[in-house]
Amino acid sequence: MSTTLSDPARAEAGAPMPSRRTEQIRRFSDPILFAALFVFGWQAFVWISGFHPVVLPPPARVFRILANQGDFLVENMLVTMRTIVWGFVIGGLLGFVAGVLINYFERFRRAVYPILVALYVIPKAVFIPLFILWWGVGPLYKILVTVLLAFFPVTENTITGLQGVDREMMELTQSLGGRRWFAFRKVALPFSLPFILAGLRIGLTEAFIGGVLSEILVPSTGIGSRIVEAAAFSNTEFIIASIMVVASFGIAAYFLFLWIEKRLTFWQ
Amino acid sequence: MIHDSVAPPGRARKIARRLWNTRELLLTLLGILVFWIVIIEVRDFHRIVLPSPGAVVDAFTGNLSEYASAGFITFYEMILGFIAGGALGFFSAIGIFYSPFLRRSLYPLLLGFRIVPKVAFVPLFLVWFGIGVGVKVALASFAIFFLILVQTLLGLTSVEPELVELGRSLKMSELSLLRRIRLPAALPAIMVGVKLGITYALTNVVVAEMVVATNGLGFLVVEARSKIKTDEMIAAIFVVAFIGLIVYAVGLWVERKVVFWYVEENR
Amino acid sequence: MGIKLDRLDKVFQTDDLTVQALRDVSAEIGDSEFVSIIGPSGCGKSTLLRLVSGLLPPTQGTVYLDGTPVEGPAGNIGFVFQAPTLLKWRTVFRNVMFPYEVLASQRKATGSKEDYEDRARMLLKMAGLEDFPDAYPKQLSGGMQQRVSICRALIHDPELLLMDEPFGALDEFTRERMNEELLRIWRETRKTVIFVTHHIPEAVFLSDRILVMSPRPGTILGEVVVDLPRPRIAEMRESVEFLEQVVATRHLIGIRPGDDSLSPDFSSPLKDGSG
Repeated sequence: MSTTLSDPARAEAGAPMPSRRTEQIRRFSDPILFAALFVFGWQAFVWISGFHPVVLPPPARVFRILANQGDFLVENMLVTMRTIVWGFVIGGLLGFVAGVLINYFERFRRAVYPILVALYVIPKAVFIPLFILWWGVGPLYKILVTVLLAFFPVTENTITGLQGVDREMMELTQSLGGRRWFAFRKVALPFSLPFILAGLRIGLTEAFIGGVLSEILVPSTGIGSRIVEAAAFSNTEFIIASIMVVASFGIAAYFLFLWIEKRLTFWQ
Repeated sequence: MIHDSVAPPGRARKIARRLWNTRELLLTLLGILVFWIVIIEVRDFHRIVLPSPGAVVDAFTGNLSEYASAGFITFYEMILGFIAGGALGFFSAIGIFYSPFLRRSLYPLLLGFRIVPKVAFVPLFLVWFGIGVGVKVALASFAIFFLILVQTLLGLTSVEPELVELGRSLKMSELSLLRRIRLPAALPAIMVGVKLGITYALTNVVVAEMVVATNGLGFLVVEARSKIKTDEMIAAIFVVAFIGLIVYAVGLWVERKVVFWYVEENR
Repeated sequence: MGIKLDRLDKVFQTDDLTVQALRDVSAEIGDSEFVSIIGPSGCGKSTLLRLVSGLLPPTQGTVYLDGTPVEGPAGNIGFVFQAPTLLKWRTVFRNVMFPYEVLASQRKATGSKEDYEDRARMLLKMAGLEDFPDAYPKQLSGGMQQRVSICRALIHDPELLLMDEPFGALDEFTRERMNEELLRIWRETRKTVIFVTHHIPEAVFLSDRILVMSPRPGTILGEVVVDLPRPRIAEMRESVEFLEQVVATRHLIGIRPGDDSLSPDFSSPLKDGSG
């Protein structure tokens, strides 16, 4: 899945091209403008509808929470991030190894791949109660849930990537007497790297779901628990502020990953 | 590719070979089952920690009507959420496509927003749409909205320029260009969204049921946990998994049918 | 390097299918000879190259390189494919050096890294790429990429060069220029070359001898000895002798004006002169 948006409708014949410079300024100014419009629309909607602040708090109240209790929210988010990062790293590694084994060992593929595909496409959240039963409600359980969610996209993409490795390039390496391990490191791995990274990007998304969902289901520490707490007190502005913190971390993590991905696959 | 000198094997032989080819899978499944039975004996697990396969089968047959009615609720809400979120995402995508301002301002945000766990919005939806159908359908539509929006936009922005030029050279109006060229060309990307979307809808309905709801399959799973009836819980998990597989298969089938020309091309 | 193909059979067996790719293929190729193999798509030409290189074992028969039977990849062969098949994350220079790395990992490299690097520079110069050692493949045109892959095939000074439709993806102008460059390189290095193509004038222009293969299962229908003088230069493509050789090869494959429904008006002035 491509994630860059070139501007094809504009590049099409007929459309007047704004200057390069205006284009670049707009790339930054437009999202800011949009955010401002969004907040204004939100405020306007609160005025017009006359909703009670419990149903829809005005933006000012949410910003006040962010200003006054921002540290507390970020602290909780960092706890959640620890789960997410551990789950992502372990799940990603296991997913990669599983993908490699499935791709290179015919028997292993036949034995487990259909099971993995089935697990990939079903709602994995239903396994969470089993995890709670077996591993308690501590950090271990949360990391395991995150691993479970992050694992599959990485496996799937690793296999897709390795399947697409240029066959002739592998033959060339073989024809020179290169060993399998050498061909894997120097040819197959770089070839499939873009796919593996894309899988990891999806895995990161899943890891965020795992981190937050595991806390919402068993509230104790972390931002998910704070959201559940706030819900119990109908503290809507706090919920919205918490979501904003989660979203900021998520979006930052996403673009950080995208940046690393671009650097690692510079030849693309 | 392959012409002559090919010996067509007999039908019976073919089936036998197919079965033979799944031998490793069957052995693995058998191995898991044996492990399940043996570990209960060896480690002397209590039935709360791990019930025997027999107990799970009993729990399943004993609660069949309950699973059926819960499954119906989940399924119904899944469809509602899918249609609502899908339609909203589709039309928003067209709007965003034709507005350079919205594209520049929203597209990067939308990509980043995919990573935000939608489940964090459940308490909000609870306040806005109420417990029961409301919160579940809201969560499902919310998740699918983004998926279909991004896929549709992706499809629309990657239409071959030559096709659009062809339309322009025929002096097609923009509406007819959209209907006859842009959307059909975007269909493969949209159908990827639809295929994933059905699965997404199910997952999100089940998650909402686990977090707040009072009925549906996800609720059955957490309810069995709170009643400490692990056998019923595992049975419910199997039911969800089974429905998940069917839903995925339907998604695949729909994709194949709708964009058969694309799927075939890319075999 | 002299090559002997001794009654080669190759059968592919999958779960449901049995396909005979080659049947009873025998031929001998002399040292420093340039031999083309020509035939329709799917006649097993590529399979034959893989048997010679030891990538695939024959079902029956033996390949001899300088009298020694082939029992696996030997490492002293250069391979060029239809696609340039470059490593996109490496510069031109490091792509050319790739075979050295493979051989070094096996401790089979003859000579130091510096020797190979000198040779890589020399080859790039010979291929007119001396200005692009640090370019990445995507920055080069298709023809340039293919020249990189030819340099790569020569870096370890193989005695045998196997080329699998190397210019098939290029436009006609580039193809003709590449033909001339290949001949120049061949003149300077005197490798044994097996060149697979389905472009008849190309085969005639390049080769000492052309082996014509039949559709699956691939067998050798016959051979054309190209008696055009060397060095071959571009102008020869328009000579009567050249066209006669092309027509002779066409007839051997079974293409004759008249039963070629795609170009019914084709009539060669040489129609009666040969075949």
